[in-house]
Amino acid sequence: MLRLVDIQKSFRLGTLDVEVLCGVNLEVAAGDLLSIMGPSGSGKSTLMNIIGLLGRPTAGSYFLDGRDVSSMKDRELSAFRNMHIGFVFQSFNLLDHLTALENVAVPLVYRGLGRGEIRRRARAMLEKVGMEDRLGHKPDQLSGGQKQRVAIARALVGEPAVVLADEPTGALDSDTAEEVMQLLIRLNREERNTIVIITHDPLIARQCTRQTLIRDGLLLGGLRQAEAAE
Amino acid sequence: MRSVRTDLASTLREAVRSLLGARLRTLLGLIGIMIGIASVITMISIGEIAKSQSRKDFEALGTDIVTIKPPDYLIGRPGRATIGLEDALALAEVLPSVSEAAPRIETQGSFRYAGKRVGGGSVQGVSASFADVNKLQMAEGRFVSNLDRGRYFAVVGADVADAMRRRGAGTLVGQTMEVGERLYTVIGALESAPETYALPFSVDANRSIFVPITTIRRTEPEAQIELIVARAAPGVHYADATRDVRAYFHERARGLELEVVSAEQLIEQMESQLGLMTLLLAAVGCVSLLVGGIGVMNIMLISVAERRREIGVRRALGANRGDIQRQFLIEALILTLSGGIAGVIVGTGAAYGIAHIYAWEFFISPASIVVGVGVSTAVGIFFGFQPAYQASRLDPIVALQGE
Ligand SMILES: Nc1ncnc2c1ncn2[C@@H]1O[C@H](COP(=O)(O)OP(=O)(O)O)[C@@H](O)[C@H]1O
Ligand SMILES: [Mg+2]
Repeated sequence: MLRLVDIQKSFRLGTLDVEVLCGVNLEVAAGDLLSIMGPSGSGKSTLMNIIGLLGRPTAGSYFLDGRDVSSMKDRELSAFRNMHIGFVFQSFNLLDHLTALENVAVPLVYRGLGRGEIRRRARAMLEKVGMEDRLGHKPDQLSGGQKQRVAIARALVGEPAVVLADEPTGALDSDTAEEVMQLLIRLNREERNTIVIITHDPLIARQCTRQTLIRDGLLLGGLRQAEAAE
Repeated sequence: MRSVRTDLASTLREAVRSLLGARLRTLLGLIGIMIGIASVITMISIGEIAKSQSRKDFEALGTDIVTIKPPDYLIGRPGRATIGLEDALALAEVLPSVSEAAPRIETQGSFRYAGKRVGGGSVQGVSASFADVNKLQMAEGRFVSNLDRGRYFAVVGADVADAMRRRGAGTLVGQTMEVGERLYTVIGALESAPETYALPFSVDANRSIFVPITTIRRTEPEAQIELIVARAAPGVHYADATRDVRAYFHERARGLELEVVSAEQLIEQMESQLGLMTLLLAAVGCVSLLVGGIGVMNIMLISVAERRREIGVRRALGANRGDIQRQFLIEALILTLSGGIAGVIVGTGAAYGIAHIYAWEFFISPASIVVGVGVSTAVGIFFGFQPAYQASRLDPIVALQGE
C-alpha cells in the first residue's frame, strides 16, 4: 500500500551537502501499527515529511496507493495527501479559532464534501475518540490529552491510508501519554487503521506491532520480508 | 480525487472568523480603507450635488438667459471701449430676439441707518428689468423703475433689511439710509434670495442694495457696465439671440470686445469646472485609498507571518496552494469590502452634512456607491494578492515549524 524504495534526502548547508537519509526502504501494509525509532536528529521527521507528501526526496521512488507520487504537481499532491494521509503532531497543531468539531472537519472541507456529511462524519469520529461532549470547545478549553484526541480524530476522519504520528505523546505527561497510546492501539486493532508512530521512546515503540530503527540514514526493519525472516 | 472545491459560504465564514480573531488589526485595516472610501464618496457626492444644485439654480433663473460682459482681463483697464448705458438700456427694444436686458454697474459701499452701520457690500446700479431677469422677489415696497432716473432711491437686500429692522426701522419704505456719503430713500426691500452657487455671475442680492443705474452713473462716473443679463424672447433659440446681441454691439461700439454667452454654454462651462473639481477631489481620495490599501497589505503580510503554522497545518490536511491563496485573498477582500461599505455610509453621511450646511438638495449619488464598492474590491484584490501569494508559496514543512 505504501512503499519507499531507496529514498535519499540531503540538505544543502552552505557548500556542504548533509545526507540525512541515504537509502531508506520501507513497506507499510494496511493494518500495520509501525514505529520508527531513532535518536533526535536522526532524520525521523524528515522521513515522515516525505511519507506525508510534504517534502520530496532527493532521490528514490515512493509508491502510495499504487501510484508513483514523485511526479505529482501541487494540486494532485495536495489532493492525494488529503485522501491518503492523516497527520498527528507532537504539538497537536489544532487551529485555535475553530471548535473541536470544526477542526476535525477541516480535511473534509478541503475534500469538498457537503456540510451535512462533514458534520456527521466529524461528530462520529469525535465520538470514537471519546470527545463527543467537547464538540463546541476551542483548543484553549481542552487539556493536552484532549487536544491530542481531537487531533487524532482529525487525522482519521478522512479514512486515510496511513496515519503519521510524529512523537504524538512527546508533549504529554506519562499518564496522558499512555492513554493516547492506548487510543492509537485501539484504533489500529478495532478499526484496522494503519498507523506509523515516530518516537525516540522504546516503551512506545515496543507497543507497536512492527518496529523499525533509523540509524546512520538507514532504516532497519523497514521491509516486510526482513521482518518475516527475523 | 476531489472535484468540488470548498464551498464559498464556508470559506467566507472561516475568513470572517479569522478576521474577528485579530480584532484590533482588522479594525485598523478597516478604518484605513473606510477613510479612503469615505473621502472618495464624500467628494464624488458633493461634486455631483453641487453640480445638480448649480444647474437647478440656473434653471430657476431660466435657460433663456444670455450674459454679456467684457472679458475679465479687460475689466478695470483704463481707456478701453465700454458698453454705453443708452445702448445697454435700448437692447431689448431694438432687438426682437431679446425680450429683456438688465445691465448692471456695481460699486462697493457701506450702509448706515440711524447713524449705525447696517452692512456693507455691493451697490448695484440696475434698471427695472433686473429684478425680473434675476427672479428677485419683493418683501415690501417696489423695485427700481425706469422712471426713477437719477433719483436717490434704494431697494435693500434681505440681510440689509434685517439689520435695519434690528436698528428699529418698522416699515422700511420711506426710511432714509446713508450709502457712503449720500442719503437714499428706501423704496423697497427684497425677500431673502437663495444663495446661488457657482453661477458665473453673482448677484448676492441679500447683502446688496439696488439703486437706479442712472443714479450710480452720476455718483460714480468712472464705474462701467460689467454685466448685462438678457433674456431671449419666447421661442427664440439662444444661438440666434446671441448672434443678434453680438451684431448689435459690434455696430454700436467698434473695438469693444464682449463675451456673449448663453445659459447652455454657461451650464456647460460650469459643469466642466465642477467636473474638474470633482476629479481633483477624487484624486485626493485616491491617495488616501492608496495609503489604506498599503495598510491592508501590511496587515495581511503580518497575518500571513503570524499564521504560518496554520498555513502549514492546512497544507498538511490537504489544502493546495490555490486554497491557501484564496483564503487570504478572501480575507483581504472582506476587510476592504467592509471598510468600503462603512466608507460609503460615512461618506454619504458627510455629504449629507455638507449639503445641509450649504442648503443644497441632498441625494445619494449612485455613481459614488458603485465607485466605493468597486474600488474597495479592487484595492482588496490588488493589495491582498501579494500576501496571499506569499502564503501559498510557503514550504509546508517550514510553515509547520511555526512562528
Ligand atoms: N531544512 C533543513 N535544512 C538543513 N538541515 C535540516 C533541515 N531539516 C532537517 N535538517 C537536519 O536533518 C537532520 C534530521 O532532522 P530531523 O528529521 O528533524 O530529525 P529528528 O526528527 O529525527 O529529530 C538534522 O540534523 C537536522 O538538522
Ligand atoms: Mg523530529
